[in-house]
Amino acid sequence: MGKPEIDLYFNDVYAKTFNAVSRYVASHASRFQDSEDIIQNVYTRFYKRISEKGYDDIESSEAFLINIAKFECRTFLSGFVKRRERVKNLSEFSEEESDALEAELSRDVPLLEEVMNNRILAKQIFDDIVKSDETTGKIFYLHFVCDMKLDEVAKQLGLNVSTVKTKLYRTIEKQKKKFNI
Amino acid sequence: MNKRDFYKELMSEYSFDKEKIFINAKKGRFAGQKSLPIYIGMTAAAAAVVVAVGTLSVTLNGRRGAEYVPNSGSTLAALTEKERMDKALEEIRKNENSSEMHDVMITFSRTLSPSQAQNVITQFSDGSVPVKLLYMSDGSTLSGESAVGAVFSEGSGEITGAIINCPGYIVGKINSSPLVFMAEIIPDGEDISAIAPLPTNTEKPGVTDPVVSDPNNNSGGFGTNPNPGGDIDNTSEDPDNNSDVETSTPQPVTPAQKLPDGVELLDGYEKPSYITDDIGAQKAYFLSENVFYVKTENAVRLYKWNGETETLAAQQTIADAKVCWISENGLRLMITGVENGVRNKMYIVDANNCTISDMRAEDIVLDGSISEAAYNEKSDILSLNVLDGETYYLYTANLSGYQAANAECIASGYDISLLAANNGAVYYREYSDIVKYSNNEFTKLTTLDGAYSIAVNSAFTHAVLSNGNGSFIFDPASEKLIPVQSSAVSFGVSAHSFSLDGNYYTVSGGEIIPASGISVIAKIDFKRSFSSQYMAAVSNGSVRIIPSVYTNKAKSETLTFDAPTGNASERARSAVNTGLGVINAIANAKCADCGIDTAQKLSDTIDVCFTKNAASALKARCEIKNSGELSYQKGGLSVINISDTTLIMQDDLQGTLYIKAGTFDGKTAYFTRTVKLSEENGALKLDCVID
Repeated sequence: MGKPEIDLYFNDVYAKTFNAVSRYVASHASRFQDSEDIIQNVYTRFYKRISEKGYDDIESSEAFLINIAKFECRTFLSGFVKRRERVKNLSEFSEEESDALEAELSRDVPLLEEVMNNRILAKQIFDDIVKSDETTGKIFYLHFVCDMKLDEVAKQLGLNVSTVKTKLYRTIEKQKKKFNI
Repeated sequence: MNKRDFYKELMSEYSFDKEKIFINAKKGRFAGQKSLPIYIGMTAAAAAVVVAVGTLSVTLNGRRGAEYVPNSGSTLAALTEKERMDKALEEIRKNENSSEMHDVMITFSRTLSPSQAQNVITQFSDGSVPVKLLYMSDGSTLSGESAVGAVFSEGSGEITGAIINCPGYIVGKINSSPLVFMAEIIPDGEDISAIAPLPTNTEKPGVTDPVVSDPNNNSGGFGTNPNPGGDIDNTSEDPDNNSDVETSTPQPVTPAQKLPDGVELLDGYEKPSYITDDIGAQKAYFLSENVFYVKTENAVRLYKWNGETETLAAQQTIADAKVCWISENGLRLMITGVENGVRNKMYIVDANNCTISDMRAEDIVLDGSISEAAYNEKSDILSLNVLDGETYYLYTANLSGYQAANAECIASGYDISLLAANNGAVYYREYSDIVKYSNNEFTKLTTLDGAYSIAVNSAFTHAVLSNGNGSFIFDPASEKLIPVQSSAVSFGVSAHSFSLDGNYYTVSGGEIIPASGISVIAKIDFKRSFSSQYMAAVSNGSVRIIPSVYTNKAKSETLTFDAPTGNASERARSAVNTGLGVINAIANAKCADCGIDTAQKLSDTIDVCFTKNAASALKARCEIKNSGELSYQKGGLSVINISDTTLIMQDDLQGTLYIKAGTFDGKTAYFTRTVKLSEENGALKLDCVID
């Protein structure tokens, strides 16, 4: 099996599986901050594998990659890595507060396009989310990028729905004041 | 743009660099180890400087930069392997206090990943360690900033050796690493390009330096667990081997006075003893007053005991069960076991409910095996040390019912050994560091170089660290390593008290203070102490059940462990024995067996053996009537085997009776009772009731 053939296969698999693998890793990595490195290792390992042994025996590339991702999520080392966050007790948001924030999320704010175009500011806002703790980044990614409902996110991460809501809404509220958005 | 779209775009744009991942994957690049020490760049820079002024002949070798062409004829390179190793050890000793900088050839025990190699090299250095050369498993050698830097930043490749530059005192420490086969100081002026790593197919030579690992330590680690999977109960002596099990046939007492016709008093009574069928028991002990635990070759069981027969209450098939935790009251214990050749099972045994519950540890052990398991009940911290391949996973969790909850996991490429838990924190030894993990923070408390055997106590409150040079008890409350004179420390199930060389102590406030009392000993001698009524002992696959020595009476009284030497006259001893014969007949409800078949005869016997006052007190206490049918109560008296007593008289009529209470943690203890005698009608009689 030649390299061009391998590359074509890899390109195709990469395009088809990236979202699923990213979603899996974002959900299962101990820290959202590690997710990118883990995804990198998953695909590097996959590419090495198909380069050395071909891909004829791989029935489902996505299932194969998820298996690698399982391994990587578990073995990814960065010194002392905390694998799973202890669920902290957070005070819950009231229904009124939740409704208000949901409404605000849907309100059109022209300023946000400018913010998005300001890459330095946008990166600051992104870093503020993922560095706040180890699950908030996951919640934002799964909810906004993967379009998962909050109860689905909670189930995926093994958290209470109230915890997920609290983390999400508190972060949005905090950013509203901190970045004036 | 609304805020929902904003966050969607923000997270999509900045979470993952899809293009970079794609390109790196095709180049075979794995993610860099972001949290590794940042001085790797400094290391690479230093390497570049050294290479720039050195005398190496290099040939470019693609991304890796340079491959050296070895010269010949240098001093170290000219030595045989054995000569090199001998010289290396000699240089380590010479330089153990030297801060002079040397080039050092490090041969790793096996091929290491860049992060492993870096950890070994920088383990004992606060700053950067210049790396001059790297020896790769494919036979190439790398030098220069880009080549060395690429290896460490990309984390790719396998390293077999390195030449670094470091102070002399660090060399011995590096050499003590199990991942290092040999660290050799290269003589000044020698051409480093001519030196190659040593072959590692020979045994690592031993050295006497205390910082060097024990070559006999077959675990290959610094923190060693001599007892994988736990097994708190493998250290105590089986009670079947001690005298508490022994029984003898009672003999008639030679009376001090003429007893009523037909009365023959006995010097004691056979201790009740029951033996089960052969149930394949290897270990057995009571966990509560009426439930005993049995370990067989392939199962653990709970039996209920009603005083006469045993009933199987619960059983779990599991191979090589080892007890890793027993609650201080004995009602619950935790065991690890082997399934399909792997120690990945855990169960909680509950004597209260007579249940054995699967903790489903295999769900987190996965492909690894349980190296250690410990539980601190007070802090509610369950810790598992799981070895999977070459990685240790330290899990911490809480116990929710019979399951682990809120599990967290730390991974390390170095040996991890559990030490203790306290107040929400878990303490462990990673390589040579004593580390505290609490509130998501890691704190290195101290470094303890060298190979240590580490034993965690059942309560997971302390650990004993020992090597040939001494022993320490780790106290998490004070975060101190407290030196002790011997490694023969036994905590049993006690949280803070322990035995050492026959004495008892308690760890308190970072100090060791003397301790005493049967309640203290009971927790150390736990296999015989959880029931105040019974003890279980294994006998050829059967379980023998005998009376417990850890009675409420023994726990409530002050016992003496001083072995007495009797001095009583034969006359005094005979008077006491006769009185004890009567007391035993009453206490054991065996008056009729002694020929005392009427109330009058019992009353007459008491009158003969006791003074008037004592006889009156005994009759009242046991509600003995002077006429009518034989009727009496035990009156709180207990059987005292005369052979278990020693009489020491202070004068002709007053003394102390030492009554053997049993064997506690291998030592015989005695109750003491004041004995009074009195002459009445020319006969010496007991002037008190002994109980």
